[in-house]
Amino acid sequence: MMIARLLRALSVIGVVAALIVVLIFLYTKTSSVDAEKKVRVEGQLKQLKQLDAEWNVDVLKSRMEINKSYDPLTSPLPILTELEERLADEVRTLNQPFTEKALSELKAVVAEKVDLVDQFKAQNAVLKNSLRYVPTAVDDLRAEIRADRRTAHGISEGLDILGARANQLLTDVLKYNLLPDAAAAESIEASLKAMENANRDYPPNIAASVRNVVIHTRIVLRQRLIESEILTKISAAPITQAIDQLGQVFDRDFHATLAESDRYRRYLLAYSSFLLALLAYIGARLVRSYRIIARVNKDLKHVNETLEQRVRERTEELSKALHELKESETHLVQSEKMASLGQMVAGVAHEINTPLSYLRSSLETVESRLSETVREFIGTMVALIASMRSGEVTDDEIAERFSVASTLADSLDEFAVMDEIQGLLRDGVHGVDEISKIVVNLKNFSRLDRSRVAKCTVDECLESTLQLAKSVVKARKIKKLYAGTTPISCSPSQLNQVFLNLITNAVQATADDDGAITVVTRMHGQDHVAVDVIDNGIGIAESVKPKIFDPFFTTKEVGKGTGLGLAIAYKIVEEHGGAIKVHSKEGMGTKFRVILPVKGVDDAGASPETSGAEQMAIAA
Amino acid sequence: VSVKQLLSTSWAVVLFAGLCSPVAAVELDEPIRPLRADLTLDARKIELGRKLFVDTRLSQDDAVACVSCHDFSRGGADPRPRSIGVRGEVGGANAPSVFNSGLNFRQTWNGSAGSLEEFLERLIKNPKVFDSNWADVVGKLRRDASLPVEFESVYAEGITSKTAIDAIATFVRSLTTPSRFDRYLRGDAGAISTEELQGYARFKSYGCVACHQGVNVGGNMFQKFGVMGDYFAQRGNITPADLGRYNVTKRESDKFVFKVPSLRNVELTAPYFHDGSAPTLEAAVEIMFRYQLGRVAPTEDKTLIVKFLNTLTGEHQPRLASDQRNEPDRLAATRAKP
Repeated sequence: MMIARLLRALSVIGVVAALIVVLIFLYTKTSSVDAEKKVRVEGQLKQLKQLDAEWNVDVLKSRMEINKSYDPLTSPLPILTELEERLADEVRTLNQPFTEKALSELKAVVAEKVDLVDQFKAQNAVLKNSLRYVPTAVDDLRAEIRADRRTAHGISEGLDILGARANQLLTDVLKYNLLPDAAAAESIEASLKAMENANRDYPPNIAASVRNVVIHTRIVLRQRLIESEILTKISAAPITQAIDQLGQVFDRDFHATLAESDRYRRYLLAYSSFLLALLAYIGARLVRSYRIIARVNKDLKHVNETLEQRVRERTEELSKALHELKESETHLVQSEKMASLGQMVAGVAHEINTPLSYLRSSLETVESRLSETVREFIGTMVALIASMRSGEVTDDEIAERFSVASTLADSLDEFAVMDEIQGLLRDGVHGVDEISKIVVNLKNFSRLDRSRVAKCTVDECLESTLQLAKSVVKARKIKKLYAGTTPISCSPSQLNQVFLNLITNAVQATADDDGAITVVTRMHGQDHVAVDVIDNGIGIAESVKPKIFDPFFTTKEVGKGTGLGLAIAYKIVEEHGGAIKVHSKEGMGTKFRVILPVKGVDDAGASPETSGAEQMAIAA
Repeated sequence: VSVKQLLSTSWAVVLFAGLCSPVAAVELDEPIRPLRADLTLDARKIELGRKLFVDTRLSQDDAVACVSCHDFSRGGADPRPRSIGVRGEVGGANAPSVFNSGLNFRQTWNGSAGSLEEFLERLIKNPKVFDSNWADVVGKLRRDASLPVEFESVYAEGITSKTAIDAIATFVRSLTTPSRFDRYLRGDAGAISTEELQGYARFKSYGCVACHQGVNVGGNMFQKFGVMGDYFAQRGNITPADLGRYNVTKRESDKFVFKVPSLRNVELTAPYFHDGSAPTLEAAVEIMFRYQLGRVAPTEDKTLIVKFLNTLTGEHQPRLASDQRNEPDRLAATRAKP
């Protein structure tokens, strides 16, 4: 992934670099032509030509001894070098091989000419010296001859000839210098040979002078020839041709370069147009992308805004639904409670009815007993007392009346009427007690009169629940195993509801005749109490077990159960920070275990929903 | 525009002006031309070149400087017959005078270098002279405490082989030595004595002037050593350096051909010739008469010629120490080394 992105980035960079390189290439190709180059090069070539021409003139001036030194022949050298360097610079930037070749040819020709001029100077100096010396040497020879003629005699004729020959030689040499030709050279060489041949006949001093003349004349002959050759070569040095050649080639190459530059300029134009188009395309794409992004952004913004609105609406709906749900839950809880109560009402009515009936019969019996015997005895006694008090009545009468009274008293005593009445009243009081007990249990169950959270033991709660559930339990054996647990902080009415539900379920799971329900309380560790409600009923099917705490799940016929009993019990226990578990085996029985913390709930910790629901339930 | 270009342009201009100006009418029209008084050189570059001229860092062993072979008290030439370079290496020839060498048409005895710059470029690498290279030399010079700053104040690029060479070449070009004879040529008839004037006449009439002419009294042409006789056969023990120009062109006719040396300050530059074989000026003149002119001359003529030659000695010999600063210690140290 990374590598792919890297490669992509690299390829983009590569493409951009290639585009730039092409642009730079085209740009340099077009900008490399300096329009003034032609003017400069032409100027330099013209200068070179002129310099060469002047140089030629100076060579001839030196030859003619008009130039007295060779400085004019050397002074062009630095200018030549400099011109060559400048030309080389110009040609190098033109970068055309033919021009470069023409320039190197020109340089070679110039170097050759420099060398020829150097040779000319060397040879010319030697020629000049000998040429200048030959007349002196001839003069010296003639002086020697004249001196010898004064002293020696006999060979004067020979010396005369020598003198004349020397004179002739001088003329020939000077002529030869002006107009060197082979014939003159031959005749000079012939007279030189003749002088040499005759030399052994001359006196030594004359012979020496002759040798001097011969040597320097020969040097003149030789040097004049060499110089002629050099001069010919110098004048033939094809510098002008080389310059013209360079000029032409340069001209052609320059125009070719111009044309090439022109061509590249067109390429550059085309390429620039292409790049512009590319840029425009990229720009357009960017603008479009930007527009899309802007639109998407706008949409997003809009969606965001409406989303907030929608969320608000949905939240409102949800909170309303939640509210409604809570309300309906409250209603459900209430109706479950009412259903449970409804079930109990019959039992409670029966419970109350029983003591009421025997209370009634007791009271009726008492009434009957009191009305007959007691009233008669009391009447007799009253008449007796009155007769005794009046004194008017005889003793007999008194005695009679006394005996009646005594008889009545005996009968009362005999039939233990008072005891009976007392027993009847005691029964009545018992009945009233029974009733008040039921009322107390009922009150306990609902706890309408107490603060919602109280400290009480699960034993108490179970007991009052069992009392209320008597009518439901009917003939089933109830076994209570209370361990005397620590009071816990709880909502007793809620716990009662839980226990009632569990007991009701146990009752419903068992048969009337052999059903047995065991309630067990014990401490579960230090901080918890455990309540087991065990029955020997039909048990719960494994498939059903996971669903029994689900709201609205019921195994009862439609309309018989709300399906909320265990769900509410679960919730209540959970809110108390406890747990409710079930162990069941089909056909064997079921054990519900409720574990509650001793600390349980307190007022502060009670969830507001529950308390709200509770309050509403109470209000309803 | 390079310094070189400027110089060469000024050369041409000055030459032209010299030929056409009214001063030329006063000047004598002689084969020997007077020194030009109007050198246009950058004084700061001259000073930098002056420093490098005595700088032994030019040599591989930090022992040899330009001045080691160009003794300013000996007309800028080497009093030793063969010049001695790096590690005591004995060179092939006697170092010619550095004075007025900027006026020579080529450099070295055989004219192997076209310009002072070309000469310096190569001389530094010569295994018998400096045996170094410009990269090393520039490296050493750049470590100097003050030289880099001084160069940067003159050359934008600081010390490079090009600027170092330019500084030395500029200094060398400044080493011209106007003489009494120059004054004579400019029209000061009293500048030289009658004898000296007679000497000059002999100089011309015997043909010395055929080669020793121009502004530098030589230095503008090549000539064979031994035109009229075989000098080397006579001397014997021919060395490679004796082949002269042949070493450059490899042309048979260039064997024993040398650049004609300038005779300015010739009074001071003994020993003479490329081989330093003539210990005195008289001996040198004698050899010249014999092998170059093929002439015999009376001693008095030669004496007159020597007298004339002495008028070519610069009236003010260039000084090695700059006017601003004396560097006797350094010079002494340089000289002391072999």
